Amino acid sequence: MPNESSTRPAGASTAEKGTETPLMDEISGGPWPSHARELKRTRYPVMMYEEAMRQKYTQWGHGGMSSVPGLGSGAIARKSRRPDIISHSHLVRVLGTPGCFYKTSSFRKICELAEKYGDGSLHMLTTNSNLEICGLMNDDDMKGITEGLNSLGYDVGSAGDAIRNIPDCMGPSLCEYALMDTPGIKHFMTKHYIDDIQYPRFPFKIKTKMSGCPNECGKALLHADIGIIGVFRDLPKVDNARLREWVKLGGDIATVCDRCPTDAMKWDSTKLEIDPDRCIRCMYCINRVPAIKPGDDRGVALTAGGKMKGKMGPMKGKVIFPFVKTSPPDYKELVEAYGKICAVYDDHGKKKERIGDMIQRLGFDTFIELCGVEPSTMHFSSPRRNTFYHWHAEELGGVR
Amino acid sequence: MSTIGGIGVPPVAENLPPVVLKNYGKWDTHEMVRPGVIRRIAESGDTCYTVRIAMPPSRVSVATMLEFCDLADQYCGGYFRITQRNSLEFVDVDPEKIDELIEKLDVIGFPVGGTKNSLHNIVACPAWIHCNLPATDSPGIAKALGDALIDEFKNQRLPSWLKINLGACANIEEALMADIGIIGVHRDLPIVLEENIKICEQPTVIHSCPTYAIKPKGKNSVSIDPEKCIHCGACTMHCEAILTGNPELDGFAVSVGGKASNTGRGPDLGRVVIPYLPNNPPKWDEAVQAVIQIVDAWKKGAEPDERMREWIDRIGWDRFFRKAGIKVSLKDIDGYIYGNEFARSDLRFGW
Repeated sequence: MPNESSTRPAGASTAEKGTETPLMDEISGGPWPSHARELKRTRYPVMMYEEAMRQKYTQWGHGGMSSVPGLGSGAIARKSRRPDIISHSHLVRVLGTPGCFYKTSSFRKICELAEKYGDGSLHMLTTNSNLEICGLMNDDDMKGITEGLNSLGYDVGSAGDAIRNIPDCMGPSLCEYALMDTPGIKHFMTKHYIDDIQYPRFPFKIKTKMSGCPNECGKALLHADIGIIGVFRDLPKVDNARLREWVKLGGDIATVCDRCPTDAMKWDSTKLEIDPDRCIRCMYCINRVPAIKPGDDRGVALTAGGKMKGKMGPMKGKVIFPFVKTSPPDYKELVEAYGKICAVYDDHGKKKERIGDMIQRLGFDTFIELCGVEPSTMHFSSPRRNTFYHWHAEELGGVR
Repeated sequence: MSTIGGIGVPPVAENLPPVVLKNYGKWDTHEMVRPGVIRRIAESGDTCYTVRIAMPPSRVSVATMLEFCDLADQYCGGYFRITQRNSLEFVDVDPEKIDELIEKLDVIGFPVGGTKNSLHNIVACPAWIHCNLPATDSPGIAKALGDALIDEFKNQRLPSWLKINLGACANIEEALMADIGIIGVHRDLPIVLEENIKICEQPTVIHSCPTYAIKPKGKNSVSIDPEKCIHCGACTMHCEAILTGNPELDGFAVSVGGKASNTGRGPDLGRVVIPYLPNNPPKWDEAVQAVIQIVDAWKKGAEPDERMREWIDRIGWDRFFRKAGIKVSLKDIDGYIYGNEFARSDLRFGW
């Protein structure tokens, strides 16, 4: 519990506890669903939020100590700066289901647990597709709620310097573009790496995200330390008979050809030609025209180093493995590639340094070498413009 | 001995509606029936209707989720899913009863929409609801923006997708990945609590600082160089005895042009165009005005199918600032020590 001196002197004077919430009431209505209204339907300490709005400053403090006994991660602790309102409020992170589908019969039981142990508020979902059960007050409850979740087939984890939950897009469950079985791979990867998800051991967190295709609904390249994205190598497949039918019914093929980013498409009103020297497999025409489907030579690309926070600021991910086959049930090639990136990070990352920052420090060429990938044009958007190379002694025939 | 954890996630098939399980990987196409309602058509000819709603920013109550469970039981065999943008989708809704479901959702205050060329659900971090680091309140701003742009959520009349994300501190959450992002900005210097600083791991605190502004002070404390501090919040994240945030100085920045998809010019993070606006709860007028100004300029200028970034790439940043009515300041010029590639090295000006 924070003592008085660690309570931040706020701009406005600290008000007495109070129970009126005029500011929250003001945003409880309106057409957009209101979080204030939701909070009021729970046992969440509403004065914490009301006071934050009044003082224009958060009333919550640093994380404290709480954990699920026997597990390294899964619980997040939060102290309060306003012990007069509430002393602390912890939460438990539940790993989201494959495809983020929920069945009401089991979800109702999760709700029961949230009511029993928490304050009745949920975070649906976090940016990493976890489901958070919030407002746990007793450290002793951590075991009970985790056992309750385990008995439903759900598990906790994804906190601290661990491999985080592996969010997936809906993939083949509902989407026709999916180039890989994202929910299946999520289930496999979570099971395979469950120890690394529940026992933090890395220099910092490893966020992994998956997108079934280059449309990137999962934001894997931009946001994830390791991204797994479905790709195809051959050309998109065109069903010309179906395309003619689509055009006859009013489909605007001219605009699609016009907006192809590399001008790779030619339509002569009977058939569509895709120029193999231009197509970049961006998915645009596939998204727009039902008669165009992704090719059959499918696999995944692995990217690394995307992140928002950290030393060197926001960074985009970089392609490390441009094409890896996914073969169930053991996904050998995928696990090998994913494991390699984790191992390099484990060996070379400094404490609290994200993969992106590490790559920047080591040099991207060094990272590619450490990962044991054959360098290719898929690894850069352009070659370098300096000659500051690392020459190894063995490359120089022993002269140096 | 009872074991705990070690389970992973439920099997894929466990939570899938029968029609989804039957046609897994065999979907052929989809079409918008109306905003928020998608009909997915399988190769077998089976169809699956999904109805998408906006969700409250960050937190939702168990009571509300149970209401959704009741509706799911009644209208779609008891299945729903949460999308990548945290909207809730009722899956496999009986097509005869879609209007009835939408009416019932309207009664409990949840609008249907957020598909295709509309404002998609707004993603926000918890900020003032449950976090120690925020410089602004993401859920509050998200609610204000949602109220102001509700018609764009319910209709599909924008040039293309519009995604708005909020992150309340320099950790950014997903803000830079959206067409419009709101990012919390601290302007104060972190305060070192001398009496508590010894509980922190000081080497971690010192090397967490990207600009080497933190130096050891004596044996038990650290000092922060005000000239070097860039208000990134890294030190406060790793140490309980360093605090940041000041109600008079905190605020937020606005970014534009983030996009994950590989179509068009490919994926890129957004760029910050408004460096600072003050916090003004509960209505957040400055945020609403800034976002509407940008959205209006995009609506007016963009060609069909043109995301915010593609529009900006076509007209250039010179014209974007002019059309959006944003004043350029020194803060728009990237002076961060790591890899500044954004200074202009051409003379292709858009006068």
